[in-house]
Amino acid sequence: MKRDVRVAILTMEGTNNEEEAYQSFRHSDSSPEIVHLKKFENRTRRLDSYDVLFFPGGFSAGDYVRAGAVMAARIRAKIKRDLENFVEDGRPVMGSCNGFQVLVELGLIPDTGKSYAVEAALAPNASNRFEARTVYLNVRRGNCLFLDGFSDGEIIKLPIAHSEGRFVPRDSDVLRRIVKEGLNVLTYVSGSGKEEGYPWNPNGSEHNIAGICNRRGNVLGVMPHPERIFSRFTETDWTRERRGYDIGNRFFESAVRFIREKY
Amino acid sequence: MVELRITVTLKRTVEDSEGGSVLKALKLLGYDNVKDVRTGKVYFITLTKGSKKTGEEFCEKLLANPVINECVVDG
Repeated sequence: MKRDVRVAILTMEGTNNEEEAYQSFRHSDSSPEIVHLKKFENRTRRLDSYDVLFFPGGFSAGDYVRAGAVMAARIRAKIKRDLENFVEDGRPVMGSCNGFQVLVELGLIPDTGKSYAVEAALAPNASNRFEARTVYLNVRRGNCLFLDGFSDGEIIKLPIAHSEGRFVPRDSDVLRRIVKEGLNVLTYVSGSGKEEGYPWNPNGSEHNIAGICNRRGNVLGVMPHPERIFSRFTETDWTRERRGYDIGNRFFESAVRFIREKY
Repeated sequence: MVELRITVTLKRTVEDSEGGSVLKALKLLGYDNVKDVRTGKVYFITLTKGSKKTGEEFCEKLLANPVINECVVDG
């Protein structure tokens, strides 16, 4: 009998990708649950009863103050230790778009100093626009468990929709460690796979960074939205090929497979 | 009552894209003498008790990301 994999999709006022994430995990043969942050805060749910934690995209707390700042501050105030234990136990944690912003604000990624200090920010796009379209990405999977279904150097397409996605490291040391240790697992590239500027890099991110994984490989933050193209039928060019699943499903199936194999 | 005025801006080293758009718009309106525009947010916070130090805690815990922001508390 297959092990049940329990996934918590964390929401609060303003998140809006929880349904796509729920369906992605449900179709990846796991048992997802959309859990409001309040339930962890008031202890009606416990983080350690889940195997995977997913931070969906959207505009948590209306993006007021800074994208992801309010959600991160609430988590830090009430369940910081629970979350750190979850990460240190090696369980998969992923955030897309607003979820990436929350993970960075929490210091869970890039965490090159291993102290959960805030080492980066996702600043307003250099274009000063909300960028909503498809981008090309180069995959350097390293030991990132969510990228198990990809190969190094693979060029993939994913949708983006954000206005604060410009990855800014704290200083040159942090950036050097990110690059040296291969934590920049997803980078914006052109259609031919070259790292170029705008519009291929939609937000002006340093080193074209689109996704960061921690050293251990179990915390991934990505600016694009894999949960939006779990199925081929939600792709913009879905009529060209009639296959059922798209790139998004590889992220989720990798996490579910990891739990079944390791826990 | 304690009135705090907290100003959060992007650090000088961080590109202010909104400021850049405002600069361009002002020039298009004919103001050729505008050299630079920086944007930010101002929070007016009223406390029943506390001090400037409380405002600095607000900066640290919520209002500013130390990587990109400067946070100045007046009060």
